[in-house]
Amino acid sequence: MTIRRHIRRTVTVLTAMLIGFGATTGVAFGYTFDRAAAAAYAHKWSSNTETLRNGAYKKYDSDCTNFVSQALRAAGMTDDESGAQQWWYHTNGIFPDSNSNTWSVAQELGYYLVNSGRSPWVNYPDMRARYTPASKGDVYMYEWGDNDGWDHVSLASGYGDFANYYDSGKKKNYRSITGGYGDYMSQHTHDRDYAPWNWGYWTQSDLDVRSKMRTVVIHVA
Amino acid sequence: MNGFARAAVRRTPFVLAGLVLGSGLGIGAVAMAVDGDEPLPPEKQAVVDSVVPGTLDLPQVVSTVREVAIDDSGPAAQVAAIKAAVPAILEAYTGTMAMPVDLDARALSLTALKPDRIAALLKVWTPATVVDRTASLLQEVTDVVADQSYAAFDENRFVLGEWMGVDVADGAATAFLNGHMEYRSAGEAEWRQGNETQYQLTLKPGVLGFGGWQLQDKKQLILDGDVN
Repeated sequence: MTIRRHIRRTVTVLTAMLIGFGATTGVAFGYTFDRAAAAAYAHKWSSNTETLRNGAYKKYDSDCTNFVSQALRAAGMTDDESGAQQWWYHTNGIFPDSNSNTWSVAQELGYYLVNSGRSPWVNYPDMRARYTPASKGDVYMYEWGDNDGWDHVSLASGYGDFANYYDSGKKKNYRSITGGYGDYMSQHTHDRDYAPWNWGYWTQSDLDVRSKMRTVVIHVA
Repeated sequence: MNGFARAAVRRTPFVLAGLVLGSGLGIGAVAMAVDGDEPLPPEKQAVVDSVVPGTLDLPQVVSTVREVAIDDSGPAAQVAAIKAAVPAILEAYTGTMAMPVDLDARALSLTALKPDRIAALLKVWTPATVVDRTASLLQEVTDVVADQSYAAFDENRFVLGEWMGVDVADGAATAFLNGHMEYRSAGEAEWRQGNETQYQLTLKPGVLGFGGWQLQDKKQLILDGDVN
């Protein structure tokens, strides 16, 4: 009797561990989220000096979310076309090069990832910090503090030395931020690579805007 | 309580323990897998270890960009006066945020320039709003007095893009315009460009104001994607 009870408890704990593990790693969604692939895609298709676009996808004037979605797909995230929460891009078919709003609108992508369970947690890092809890392949979502919702997304693409890039508009080099190293991101429109994740905060002079700026790390599984 | 319910209650602690352990392992695995199983830098590891999961909130959308300019309305002389006053108002208000890059000099400047800031704020804002606006600005300034991450500046100027419509009626006015601020610190030859922004302003007549007008409310929506 005691042995059977121990076995039952062990099975219960192990089952729950599997569920917890699956929910935090993506296994539960039928794919393995390849973080290195997400980062590699992001670095391949972003640049500080060129406008790089993958011809397999359509281009948007404001391309940030389209770019992040492509990187998530490159990491193995599968199209989701069932239920109220959907995320997809159709290359072919009746309507080729069509996509869900969640594919191309920053706030919609953020809410999709959370509401679908593909993001097990989010976190609001200190905007000044060198590091965030983000792993490669996670999504940074930004709010500029201008009362019109979440504005922008970029992809967490690693950590280390920032690119030695001088932004002539901001009159600042990436390496002037947090000692020149830390978590970096890749993004479209404005295109950047190996850029500090909090570049916009460190270059914002308007205190009314800066005091309300926020970023949320959307951990993707 | 039937047997099934009792069993469920008995197992709840084990289920919870399993979920916590499994999630912990999952997060750990993710952290390890982040960069080829190499250990994270201690500073980043500490951030990862102390992560506090939050919930994703939906910011309240209180303003939307006016995409197409509308015709001005109201007495032509007043519309002209507002168009002359608004750039000066924006420039003067942003000027109250000026401070040196050097942190020691910055701390001193806040004390030395305080009367100037107050005078500018009294000129920019209506009597009904100046107290609250002064309090919030002083809080913002205080927050960055020792903050090296703030992109400080000594001078600023406003660059007008396009008027999106001025409306004067019943002793008040609204002014929508697109433009951006430019910034420069002491010793810098070139101006640093701020974000292209749509300013949505409410103004009221005021004897202390610019051309007889003062700000009652200001909303600003960033138009370009070059914030980050």
